[in-house]
Amino acid sequence: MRVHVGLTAALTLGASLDASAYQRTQTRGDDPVSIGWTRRCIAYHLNERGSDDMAFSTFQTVANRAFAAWQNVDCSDVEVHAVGLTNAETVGYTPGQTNINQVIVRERGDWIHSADVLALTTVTFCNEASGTLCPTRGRIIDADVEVNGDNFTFSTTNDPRRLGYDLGNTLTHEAGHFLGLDHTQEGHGEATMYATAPAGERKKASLDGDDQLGLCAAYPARTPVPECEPFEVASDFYLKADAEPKPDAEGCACDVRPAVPRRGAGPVVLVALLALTSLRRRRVS
Amino acid sequence: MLAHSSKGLIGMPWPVVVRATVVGLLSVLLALGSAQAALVKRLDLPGLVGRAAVIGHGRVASVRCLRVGGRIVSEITLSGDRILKGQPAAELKFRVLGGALDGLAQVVPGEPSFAVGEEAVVFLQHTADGARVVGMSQGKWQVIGQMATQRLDGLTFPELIVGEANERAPERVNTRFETTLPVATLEAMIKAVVETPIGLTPNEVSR
Repeated sequence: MRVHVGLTAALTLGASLDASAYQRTQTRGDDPVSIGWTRRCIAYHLNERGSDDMAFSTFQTVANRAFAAWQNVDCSDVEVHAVGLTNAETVGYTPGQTNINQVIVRERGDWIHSADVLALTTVTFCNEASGTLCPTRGRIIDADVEVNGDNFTFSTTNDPRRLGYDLGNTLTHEAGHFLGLDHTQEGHGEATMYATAPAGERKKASLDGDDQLGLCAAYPARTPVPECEPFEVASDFYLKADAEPKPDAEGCACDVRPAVPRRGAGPVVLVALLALTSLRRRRVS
Repeated sequence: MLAHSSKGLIGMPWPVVVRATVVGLLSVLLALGSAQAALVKRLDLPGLVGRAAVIGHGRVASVRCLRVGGRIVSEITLSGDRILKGQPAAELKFRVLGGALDGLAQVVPGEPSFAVGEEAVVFLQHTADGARVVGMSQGKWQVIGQMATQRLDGLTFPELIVGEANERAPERVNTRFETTLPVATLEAMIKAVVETPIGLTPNEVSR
């Protein structure tokens, strides 16, 4: 009996899925299609809370580098820009309300999900084609990254304490979900979207060839590369939670409303510099 | 089902047989999938059992999508055939993130999905947002016939940085995205862990 059970288990455990390299998230129901942003100029905000585990400026730098990793790929022309800070607590998409893409670290009892989850990304998309918001199925209209600072300690590459989980790895991975990519499957262990990490690895902070293939399949570079219209950013880079509604979250920086920042000017200036840097064209058509 | 008062085929008490099987299978699991990896903490079976307040085996009776703030969630009702841990209940209700509503859909990669009529063993925990599946997809074993399958697609397991450990040369590991066991074996393993808790490792203790 024991031998039989053990043998059966060993045999069945050995059967694993043979899946493709990268995957794109699909719509629900019949005739699924891959989801993706319609426009290639996508905005996100950083929640003003930052992380309890590091200085706010460090959090901003790490977060913006994570997104920047996905836009420095020659075969794709997607651009993801940090456009400011927010104090909004909600994630997801509420029709008729302010909906921004954001990165938020939940601290001090605010993590409502399973305590074993380090981070997750909620992606909202058109499952059916209807109206102006959803001219086509699969259009992503909002994406938010939540990090579990409530149950985990995060660190950075340059943190001398070197304790906790690497925030850069974490956010680079979630940024892939933000763009509509799903986990890479077996045989591609170097990929950022790979579902496991070798011991001691930090490679998820950068993209490998498989990540790039996934990105370029979703957002192939066009010739010539269209310019992103300048993001109109409020002088203080701050979006209040009660800002006026806007139709969707893509290319949304033009709707950023000024408000009184709750943090000093340092982080704001840093975000501004990073945003301006990322606006620089990467290719000459 | 397992009868703890009876003897196994080889004359050993069933608990001993089951425990030996658990240890053997866990060893195989660890050998195949020792990646500590990514954005969800990897939970082995004892870890799942330890985290779960309720473990139930049943069939999905209904799936209802609803909006909670900006989120779309799916409320699952599972008609419980067996409660393997926790208080007996005729049905279990819990929520998973994501779903489709009014033409829009939301997806949270790594979160399990359920379909009406589907049979599963689920590991549930209480959160501030109600009953949720433990460790996202790790806490769902789909049952088809006599076999139960855990699929880890969509999950990423991160590496804990602990001082010099991060300086180690990367090691390639083989991680299985799908693990299949006879459902009777899975239930026996769960019961064995429930009745003889195995201590969690330091990495599994939540703050």
